[in-house]
Amino acid sequence: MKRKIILGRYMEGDSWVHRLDPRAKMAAMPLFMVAVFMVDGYMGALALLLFTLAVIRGTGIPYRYFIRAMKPLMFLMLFILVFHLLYDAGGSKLLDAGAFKVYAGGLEKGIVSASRMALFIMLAAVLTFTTQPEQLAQGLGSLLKPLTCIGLPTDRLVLMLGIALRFIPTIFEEAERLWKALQSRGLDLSSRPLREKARLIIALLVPVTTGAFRRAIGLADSMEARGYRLGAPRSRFRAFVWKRADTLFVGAFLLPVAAAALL
Amino acid sequence: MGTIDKSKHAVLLEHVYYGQGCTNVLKDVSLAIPHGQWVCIAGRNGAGKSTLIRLLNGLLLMSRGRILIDGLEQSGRTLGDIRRHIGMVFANPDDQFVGLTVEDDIAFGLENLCLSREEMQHRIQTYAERLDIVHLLNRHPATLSGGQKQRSAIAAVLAMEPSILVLDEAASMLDEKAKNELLDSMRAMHADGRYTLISITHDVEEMAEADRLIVLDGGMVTADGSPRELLLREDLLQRCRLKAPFALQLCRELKERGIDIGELVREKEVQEALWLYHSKRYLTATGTGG
Amino acid sequence: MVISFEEVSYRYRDRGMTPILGLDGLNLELEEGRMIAVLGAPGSGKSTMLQHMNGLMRADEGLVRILDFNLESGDSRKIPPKLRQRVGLVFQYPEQQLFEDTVEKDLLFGPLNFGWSEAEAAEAVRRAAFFVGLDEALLAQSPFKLSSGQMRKAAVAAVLAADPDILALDEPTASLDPASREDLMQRLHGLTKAEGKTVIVVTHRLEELVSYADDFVVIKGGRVIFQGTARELVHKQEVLEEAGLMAPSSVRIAGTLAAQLGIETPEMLPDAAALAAWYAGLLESQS
Repeated sequence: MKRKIILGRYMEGDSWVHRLDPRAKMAAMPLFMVAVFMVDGYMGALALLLFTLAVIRGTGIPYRYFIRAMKPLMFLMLFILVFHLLYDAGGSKLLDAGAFKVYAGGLEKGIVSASRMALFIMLAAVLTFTTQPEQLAQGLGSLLKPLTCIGLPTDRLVLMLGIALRFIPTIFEEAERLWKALQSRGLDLSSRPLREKARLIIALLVPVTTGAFRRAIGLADSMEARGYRLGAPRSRFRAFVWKRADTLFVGAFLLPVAAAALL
Repeated sequence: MGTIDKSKHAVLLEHVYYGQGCTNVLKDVSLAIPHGQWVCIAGRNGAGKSTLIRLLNGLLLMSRGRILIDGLEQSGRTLGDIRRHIGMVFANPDDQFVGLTVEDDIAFGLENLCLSREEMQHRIQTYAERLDIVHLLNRHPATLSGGQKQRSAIAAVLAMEPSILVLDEAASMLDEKAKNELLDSMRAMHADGRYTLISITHDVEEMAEADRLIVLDGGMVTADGSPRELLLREDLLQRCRLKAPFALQLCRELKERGIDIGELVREKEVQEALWLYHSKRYLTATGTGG
Repeated sequence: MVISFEEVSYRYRDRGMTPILGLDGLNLELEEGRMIAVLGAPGSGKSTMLQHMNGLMRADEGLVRILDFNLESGDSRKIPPKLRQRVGLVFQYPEQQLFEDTVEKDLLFGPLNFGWSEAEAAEAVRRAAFFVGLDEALLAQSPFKLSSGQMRKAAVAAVLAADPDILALDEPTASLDPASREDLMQRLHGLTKAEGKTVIVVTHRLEELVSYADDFVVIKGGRVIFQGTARELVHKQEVLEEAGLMAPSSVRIAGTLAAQLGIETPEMLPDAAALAAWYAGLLESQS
């Protein structure tokens, strides 16, 4: 089931968006969010859509992947649209079918609200598709760096996040193998009473947890053996270099903000 | 005993005990491993092999005894230094990757050494070339084969420039070809002379190549000597749940057929012996005939 | 024919931008009551093929026939439990899939799932434990208290307990010591001889199977590139190379010697006795 979710996956590539400093991409997100929330009409939404499509084009990743990223939330978007159609009675009446009336204002609000969500998912997908998880973690760390002075252990947080990103797929894989092994041994949850189902699921957590612990111990050994000590000073291999393209990229996000404010 | 010059030894253990509660996993282990030696440690599962090597760099702390690494007495204060002297490669290639790419993983250890970025880049390049993984530097560990993973793990450890390399069943999850490549890397490191190699293994062909074989049983050293002699002992092999090396099996089969080339444990030596024996026979045969 | 794959293809669609080929028009026929070794480099499609055998994975194209079940591509009907019972699958590191609080409960899990009575299941568990050489006294223990070798045996017994006709194992000897490896192979071999079961073993160690398996299958890029006996396989250097395997020591030694003497590499069983006999014959003919 995790296989259906594509948002959050990294897609290898060498586009200019891939090469941007992760901090630039992360800084652009809140700007875009502001724009998305300020939009309240067709024109604004259209401008933002065009802008997003331009960025997507820049990633070199086919459009269909972005559409697939939205799929899990399609239902929610549809719900928002229908909700507005049914309950928003502003502007001229477009359709009157007895109890069911559609107003132009309702239609516009519905479409704009639904597209807000779509726009945001698309841009989030741009971020995760084009940035390696580790870079995301490190970018986040370096954006949070100023918080070190109020006692936030950012280095440790970044390491933890990096390790989590590194091991979550492995643990998922192991859980999947366990699931398959038990299916092979005739496990069929649907035919079982609820109590039995609950008992089994708890029992299955045992091998998953021991597996995760086994890996954690192995990793801790490997880290310690290579001289890692909590809190000891370390140098950094990955240094981000802020280029002009990064400034331009973040600057470009003032466009949708302006468009949303003006249109 | 007390007169040994401590710094001559890469590893020196004196009456080391390790135990939890009243059970001792290791009992009174004393060992001296000189610099540059290739040592294999054998023993059945639970004999204390992994415990022994984890004591060397303080991943586990001994309950009694003395451990000196490159002349440095192990204690809480020296542990950081000692870990710079010992590099460790583990059995499961998956669990020892910290970084999300091979390059980042090599960098992880170097970051702990507080090296400059330039020095890190230099070392990554040098050791990636030496282990032939340059083309893998940007890959995610999950996309590598078992052999590639172990080579990367070795590169990550060697880049820290330790003098002692410890391998904990590093070949146990590899296929035959990758296992052989790993053995090649070990031969090269041994020939280099810079490294002391300590390898836990179940592979008799690897033991046959080493300078020295140490057999652990029930937390004690039960045999310590040349693999050429120890591998001939059926009782030891059985105790470690091992099979005789193929070379030796062949020598014994030949002896039964009246062909005596001695008792050899290395494939290469058997190969040469067979050729020599054949040539001699041929010469005498043609000599008497003509 | 107990297993047949006809032009079976499978693609992984969930790994990055382009679907990755798991199986590529694979054709394979396996006969009943034999021990079959499946060899191949990582990513060659061995595990994918194994998972097609009890319907955990369904082919995108082609037809998979197992016993009297036909699994056609595009058929999304539920897999009959009977198939799962008759084809036992042992995954890699199966001891990591033990989950009950006693070994016995874990072994009972399969048989009870397949609807056997308590008494039948208990009897099956005892038989399975006996077959893998697991001491009955260990049944009452927690699986996590066993040694690694015993845990592996318990995990194999857990699948064997459902009395499958076909037993397929994915690298069952990985990280076991040489004696335990040999012991497990011997017992699996015994299953084919004494019980007439079909045993399929995926492995990357040729030497451990050379004297047990009747049939060798080498897979590369989702296709079968070799099927035949050990005698045939050990002399096919390119095939071995593709599968990440080494020619056994005996073949290497005989090959080098033959080259030095300028004679043809002999075909023989890859063990020390055969090599010694050949060498003795060689000396004989010389004098």
